[in-house]
Amino acid sequence: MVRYKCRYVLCKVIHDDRKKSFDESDIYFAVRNEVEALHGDYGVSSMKKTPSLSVKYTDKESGIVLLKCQRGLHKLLQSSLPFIKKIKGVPAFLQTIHVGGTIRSCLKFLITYHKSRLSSLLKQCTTKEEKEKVKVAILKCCQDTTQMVMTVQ
Amino acid sequence: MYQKIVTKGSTDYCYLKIRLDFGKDHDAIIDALNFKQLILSAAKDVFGIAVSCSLIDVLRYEKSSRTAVIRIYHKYLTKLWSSLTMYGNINGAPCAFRILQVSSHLMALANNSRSMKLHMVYDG
Amino acid sequence: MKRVVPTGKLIFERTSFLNENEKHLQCILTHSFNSSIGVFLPEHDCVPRILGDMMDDQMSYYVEQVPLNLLTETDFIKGFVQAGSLCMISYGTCIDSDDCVAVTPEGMLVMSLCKDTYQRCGLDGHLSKAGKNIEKFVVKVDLKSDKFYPGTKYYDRVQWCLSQMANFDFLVTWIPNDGKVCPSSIQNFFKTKSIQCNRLKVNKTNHEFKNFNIPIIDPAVIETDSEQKSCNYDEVFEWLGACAVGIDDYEGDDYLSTYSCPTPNKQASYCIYTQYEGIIHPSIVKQYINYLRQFMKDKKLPWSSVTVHGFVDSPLSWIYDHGFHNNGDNIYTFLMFPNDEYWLYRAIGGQDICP
Repeated sequence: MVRYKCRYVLCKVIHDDRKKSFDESDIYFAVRNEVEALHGDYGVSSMKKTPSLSVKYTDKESGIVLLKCQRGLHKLLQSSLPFIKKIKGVPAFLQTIHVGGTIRSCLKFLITYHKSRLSSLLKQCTTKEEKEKVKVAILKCCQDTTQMVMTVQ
Repeated sequence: MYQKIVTKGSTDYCYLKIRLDFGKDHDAIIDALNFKQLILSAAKDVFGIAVSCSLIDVLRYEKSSRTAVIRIYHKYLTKLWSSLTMYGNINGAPCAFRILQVSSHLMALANNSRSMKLHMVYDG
Repeated sequence: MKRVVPTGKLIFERTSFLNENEKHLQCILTHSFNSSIGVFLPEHDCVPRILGDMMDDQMSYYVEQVPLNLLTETDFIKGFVQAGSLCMISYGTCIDSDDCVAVTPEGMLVMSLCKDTYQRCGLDGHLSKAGKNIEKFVVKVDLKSDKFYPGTKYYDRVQWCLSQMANFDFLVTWIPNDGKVCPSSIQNFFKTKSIQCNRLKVNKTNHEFKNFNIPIIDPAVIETDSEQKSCNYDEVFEWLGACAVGIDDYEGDDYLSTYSCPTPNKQASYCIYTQYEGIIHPSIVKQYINYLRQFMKDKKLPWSSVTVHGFVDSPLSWIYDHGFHNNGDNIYTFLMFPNDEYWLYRAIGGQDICP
């Protein structure tokens, strides 16, 4: 058996409107349309090769998106990501934060990424209650990291 | 005093001699600007902006026969060639690009012995 | 990323006619099948008449449906192959898909055959070296050989094998060694064998350029440096090609074309490019280049160039096997300077062997 090799691109949606959130099909069509504009019919149809382009996971809270495509074609995908200016009519763009070969490696990266962000969040906190919340979260994640990795495995 | 330089690998440019043919009962007047526009849109349909933004020079265009000599980067040769092949109609009129000659030397397009017409002198 | 396969190779040489080891004659005379000759003269308004006269004097013919065994008959070999310099190439056959046949001035019958024809014909040959994975076989028969006469086993076999093969249309030109013999006698020969043989007229195309930028070329400097005293050799070749193709008004529209004359350049009031098409004997090229060298000195031209295009479907380019991959280029250009130096460009297809 030969395994289909994929690339997972972990992106972060950045937009002004905090309340607005995008679901998987919004992201998919935004990416697909951009690939079509930049790489034409060739780009779109090669994205449909198994394993085809798909949005594996979206996190509405933090705006994290996980895209999947065939290995080798990820260059087509990655080159068109910076050109996305609007998602579902709302000005927004995708910031690539990681490219990995498996979902697991992306998740590992995501955990460390979120952890590193906690300290900067702490600085942004204004009220005491918020500060307490973040501190607890930091403490908790330090303990949980090992467990989480275990569960992933 | 003798010097020799051999260029084998990557030549920068590629030169193509192409002709635009229309189907039966269809005809249109295409000038040089239109012609370049057609090449660009052919490239854009199949390979998107990424290829159509590459260098495409129309070096010479003959309006009567709709034949042009174009210059492109060598690395886009395959992509442009295939997108020209795919191009099928202009505003509903069936048409086709014919690739007459391809070379990495512009000099080669000055003569085509394959399509050379013979002018015979009949004496008696 | 996949390696890009070249579509062409360029061999550039810079030397002088006075150099003892220079090989310009070898380059001209071994390039047997020429389909056109083009001359570019800067700062001059007409190409000397002599070239046109030479072209008219040269007798070239189109012969239809020649059986191949006619080429190995003794009266043909004695009368034409040995008594002069014969150029013969099959017409209307593509080197990449059909069988091609040619006779070189050295008296070599060269056949580039497809696999099934090769296996059927039963002559000894080798796989063509031009390109990989092509199923073309090259068979060579030396018509001038001492051992090639009727009665020998080899001759009879060749004669029989060739008689089994299809007929070909040929382009023929012949220059007799003996000045008293008329070159048209080859036409009579074919006519007596009741084969259609018609004389060919050469085609002439002219491109005239007025108030035209021409590059400044210093024969000693082949690559542009920071001082910009002379143009790069490959840019010059491209520019010569642009003139040969007949680029009109290239410094007009930026949208259409970004091509411009290589720097440094200067304006010339008048330039001319003339090209003759037809089958051209290598010895005419040789004569003409010799003439032009003197002409250039007399008229004080800064340089002059002669370009010869070979047949894309010829089985040989120089002495090597020739193939067709995207193009079947075999071109050479002499860029000559008044101080007897010259630049020689040879352009061949991407899969061919460098001469």
